[in-house]
Amino acid sequence: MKRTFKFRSATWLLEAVMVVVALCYLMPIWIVVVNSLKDTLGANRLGYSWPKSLHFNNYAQVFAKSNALQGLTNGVFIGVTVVILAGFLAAMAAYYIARKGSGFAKFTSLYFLTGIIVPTAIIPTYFTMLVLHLNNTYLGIISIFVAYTLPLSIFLYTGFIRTIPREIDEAAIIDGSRPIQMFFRIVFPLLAPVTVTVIVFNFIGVWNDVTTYLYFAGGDKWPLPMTVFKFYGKFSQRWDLLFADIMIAIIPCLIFFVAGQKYMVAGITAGSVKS
Amino acid sequence: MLKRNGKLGMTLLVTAIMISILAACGGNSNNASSQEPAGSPSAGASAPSKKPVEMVLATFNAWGESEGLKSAIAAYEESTGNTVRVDVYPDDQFINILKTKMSTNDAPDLFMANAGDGLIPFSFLEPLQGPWVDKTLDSVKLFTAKDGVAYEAYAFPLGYFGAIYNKKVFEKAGVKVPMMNYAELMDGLKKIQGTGVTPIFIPGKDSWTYQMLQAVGGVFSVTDEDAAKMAKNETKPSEMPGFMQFAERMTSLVPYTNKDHLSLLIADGYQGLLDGKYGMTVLGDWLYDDLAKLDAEKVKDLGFMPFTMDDSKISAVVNLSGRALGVPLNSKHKQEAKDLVNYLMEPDHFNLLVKPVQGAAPYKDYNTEKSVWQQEMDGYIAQTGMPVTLDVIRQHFPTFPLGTDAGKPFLDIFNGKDIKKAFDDWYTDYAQYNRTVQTPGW
Amino acid sequence: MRSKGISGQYSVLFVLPAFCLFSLFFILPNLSGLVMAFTNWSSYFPLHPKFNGWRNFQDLFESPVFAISVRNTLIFTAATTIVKIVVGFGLALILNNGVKYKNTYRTIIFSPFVFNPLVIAYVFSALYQPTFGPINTLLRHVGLGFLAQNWLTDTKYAMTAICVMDIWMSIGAIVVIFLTGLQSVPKEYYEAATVDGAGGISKFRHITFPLTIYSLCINTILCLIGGAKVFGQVYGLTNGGPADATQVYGTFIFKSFSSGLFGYSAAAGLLFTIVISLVSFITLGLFRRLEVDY
Repeated sequence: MKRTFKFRSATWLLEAVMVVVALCYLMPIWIVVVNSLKDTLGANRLGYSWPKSLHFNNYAQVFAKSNALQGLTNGVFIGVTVVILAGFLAAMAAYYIARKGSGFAKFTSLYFLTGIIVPTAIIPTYFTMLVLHLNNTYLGIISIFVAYTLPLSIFLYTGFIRTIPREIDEAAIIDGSRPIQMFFRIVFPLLAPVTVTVIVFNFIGVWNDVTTYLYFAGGDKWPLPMTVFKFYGKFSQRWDLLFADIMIAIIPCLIFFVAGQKYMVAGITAGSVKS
Repeated sequence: MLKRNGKLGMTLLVTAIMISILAACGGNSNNASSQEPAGSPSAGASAPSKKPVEMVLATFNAWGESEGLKSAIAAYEESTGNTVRVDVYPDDQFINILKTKMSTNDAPDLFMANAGDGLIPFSFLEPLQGPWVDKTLDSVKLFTAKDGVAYEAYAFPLGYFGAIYNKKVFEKAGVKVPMMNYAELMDGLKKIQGTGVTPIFIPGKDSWTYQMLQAVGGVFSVTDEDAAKMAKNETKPSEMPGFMQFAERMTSLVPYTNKDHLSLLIADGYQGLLDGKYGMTVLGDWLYDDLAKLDAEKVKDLGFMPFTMDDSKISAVVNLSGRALGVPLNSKHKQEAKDLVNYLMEPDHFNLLVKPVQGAAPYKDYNTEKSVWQQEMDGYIAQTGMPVTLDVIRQHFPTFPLGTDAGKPFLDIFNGKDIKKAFDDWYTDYAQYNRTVQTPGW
Repeated sequence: MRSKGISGQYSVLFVLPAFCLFSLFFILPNLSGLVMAFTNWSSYFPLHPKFNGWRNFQDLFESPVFAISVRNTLIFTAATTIVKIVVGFGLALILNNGVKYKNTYRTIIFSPFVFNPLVIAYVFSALYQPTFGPINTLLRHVGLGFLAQNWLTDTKYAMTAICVMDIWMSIGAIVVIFLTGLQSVPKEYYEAATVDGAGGISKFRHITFPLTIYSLCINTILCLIGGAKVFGQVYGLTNGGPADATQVYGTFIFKSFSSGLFGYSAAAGLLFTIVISLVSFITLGLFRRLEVDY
């Protein structure tokens, strides 16, 4: 291992610190897992102990009482749609911005940049949705999410496209294909790394969002994590069910995370390293 | 590091299978519990050839779970073939969500909320007609009708606001009930504290529970003229001696209250009341059924009595804040919703709807039972000849909105905020509210 | 012919859909917020908003709850930013310096990123439970029982509890960004410095710190903006309570919105937008001056 700092004390002190830190993170998850399998009285004790008997039927009860299944389908439907739409629109927009040096391209680049810095104006957006009759509709929620995720996606794509040599474009032009065909057949596949990052990021953003769903969608359109919110209101003294519901809400994210971790980290750091 | 494709694929597959198994289990039990016996003849059905309509009833999270509502709706569904979906919303947001929905054309077909024009303006609602309208008691009509037209159907038995108390605790401390004035109240609290019991329990997480102290105990703290002036913005609470004196008396209750009052919900106090850890709490008799469910034996130790913080006056305070049904103007199935309301207001169905809460009916000649606690209150009224009044807010401010959170000033005062400042902040809040709502005079 | 072909390839149509969508649902609302903040729009007269000049802003500045929420947001942002940056940098340094299982630790610390803030809030409300919650139980076990408090219902400690939860949640991303910055510093610099006889602290001051300014900048902005915008976690954990001890800007706007006072919340939102944009620009500008090119 490269030593860039010389520490007098042994490295084991650092290791100890990290172990403590890691425990701080694992402990809450352990509590959730363990208590989701206990009976009500046991779970309400919020202890560390492994359950005496495994109450898997807590999970079945949760599925019956909460709208977990509906939340799952909502989340997947909205998430996938947003991700696909945002991915394509952002890639196309970034292509234009990165390649065309004209005034309008520069303008749109700054235009989208404001989306990253300026916070969203929720109340006026509510009014817009009202006027367009899009409140509490799938179309409305998806449009809003796409609009919110565009700035960061475009930023990431633009940075990446700039690293693709123009010769590739020119080679395709000689082929005589129409611009949009050329884009999708040749340039877009090259964007795969960024696309994966954008997909992972945007999906997690949509899945875990709180504010947008609270303001713009009714309970029947909420994704899985938000159903925990409804559940909490009804069953606040039943920690066994609550934890089971939380587990159900977390598991898809965890899977996504373990599989896509590399891309998430890459995405975060993409903007933070000077190019 | 994972060998990505292989392991990832397996993980996803296993998880997908597990989720579908659990969902199937959940789904099955759901189906099993909602199986209606098929083929039973519908009683008094509307024309069976009409297409079944699905309606949406919106209400509070807590009310949606009540068995009375569920069984009454099930009966309706069986007799007409229509279905009613009950949409629930978090307790602290329901009213605002409902108002927003009604004003943005997203209204439910009907809703159940607390009665009163001050809460849900009648200008949003459809007028209602039915045999029950004429049978409505006059006192109830004050809150469900305007200018002779009924807009809401009161769907709750009439009961009292007052103090739930533990008889054994009071006996042991040697306190006579009911405590007829402020002096007796303080004396009683002191005695109870002497026996090691917390005299008053306040579940303060919902700020309105602090307001109950004034609602019940401060009925005489505001005069009609002062109230009229306050509604016209000619005076404010910090300038009204009644409010100020009441607030000071309220702070004198602090040493006798449970220390964690800011963090508890009503349900958190049930066991304490039953076990005799707490002496009393100022709420209402609708809680009888919850407490009885928790411990049918110990609930017999609990009684119900009037409560006052006035020097000499006391009254039995009637609870007219109960549940009421209403049909929004832009309801999508107006006629079916009104029919549902009429169905539920029929005497037998009304009893089904309000179960298991007991109390006098809001409609003449309906057969309902009074609970033990209500009988106890009736006894005190007969015995002492005390007047029967509404709570201080409904008595003096039936339609004047008191801001976005009328319990907050009392919560703050109880927690040590300066009384004048708390009332002035309250004034700022309801002044702004009334300006926005364009109450005349603001 | 060639140049026409190339510029024709990058037709405006590529950017138009994104442009329109973004304009409609982001730019337009922000602009109309400028107008809306000066009306008395409410859920009582939803189609008849009237101009009321500076009344909303006057109400905002007279409102005690607004003042409290601003103060709380400032405290929250300052506290969490400082801790996240300092501790985050420290953790990144440790990870960068040869602990085993570096990637595992990074994964573990980063994992809360994928959880919904509400869900995390509910888990923490279990952790913070005064009688049975693991935190108090642990404190009692190790004899620090006197430190056990009513974390969520005591006005003195509620804000601390929220800050700790937020730091737990978000420090992962900060550490990851710092790690990347640290890893981009060429090793030769350190080796050259060692040859020159520089000690650890000197290396930090002259090599590590200046060359990671960019990540420091990004992290600071992320923390500041994230702290100011905080909503989901506070809403789920305490919803502004007890007695407004944790009322922050986000929960204040939601409360006003839920009361139906739309013009009022729009005014609060407008103030927010202006302040945050200013802060971002200023911070970016400040850091730009401090950057070192290598």
